[in-house]
Amino acid sequence: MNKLQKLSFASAVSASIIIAATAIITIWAELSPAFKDGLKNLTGHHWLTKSVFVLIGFPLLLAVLYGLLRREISYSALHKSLWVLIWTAVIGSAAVLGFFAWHYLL
Amino acid sequence: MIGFILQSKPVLVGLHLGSAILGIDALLWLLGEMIGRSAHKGRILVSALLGVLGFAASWLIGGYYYIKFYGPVVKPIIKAGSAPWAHAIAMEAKEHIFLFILPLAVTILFVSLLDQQKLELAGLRKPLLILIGLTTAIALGLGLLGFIISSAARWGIITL
Repeated sequence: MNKLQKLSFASAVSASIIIAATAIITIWAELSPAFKDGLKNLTGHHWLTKSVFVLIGFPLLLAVLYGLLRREISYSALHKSLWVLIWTAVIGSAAVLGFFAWHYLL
Repeated sequence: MIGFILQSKPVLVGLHLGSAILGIDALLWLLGEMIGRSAHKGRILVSALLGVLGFAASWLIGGYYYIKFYGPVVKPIIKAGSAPWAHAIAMEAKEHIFLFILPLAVTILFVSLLDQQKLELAGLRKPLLILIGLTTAIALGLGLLGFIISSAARWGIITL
């Protein structure tokens, strides 16, 4: 089995999940002061908590996915995972920027 | 020396920006290698790795500056100045979209190291080129937001 192919797939899927989760957490925290306070209480700063979530969550998810994948990862699956990552990054960035613009102008 | 750097706001901002520029330039270098169908594994590895390291350093330094100085010192100046939206929109978006960059750069590193001929045959070259270009564009966009934030802080001081 091509380990680098499997690692690339696990990384693309993990990155997509972490980016989507970070965007959701960010917007949710702005809409719910109690949730934002909860994030702040974990590390002392809400942004630091989100950073720790990405810095620990991404490699952890990558390692778990890599370990769980038993079968060979096809190039077709890797192809799809890269497109999912591209669109997740585009939509996640647009959602965060759009939300803060909307939140300010409202 | 470390103590001086950690207390010096302009040096921290410079290092944050400088390491982000290193990450952006490294990805542009990688993009060139990929467009040119380079068979040089060493250059591909170095450029992709420099991208990851540059963005990681920028995150670490920028994060320290953001928590230690931006929140207590700079943010109140911007909010009281002529462009409070620079914090409410530009900074809020920048600090959160930045969190996407490292997972993107790490994925680029792994995919770039795959066999180039197989990348071509499997149709992976196009999404890889788009992913590198997109990550570079997002990082450049964050740089633009950083410029807006710094300008708002300067004008905030003048207004006050």
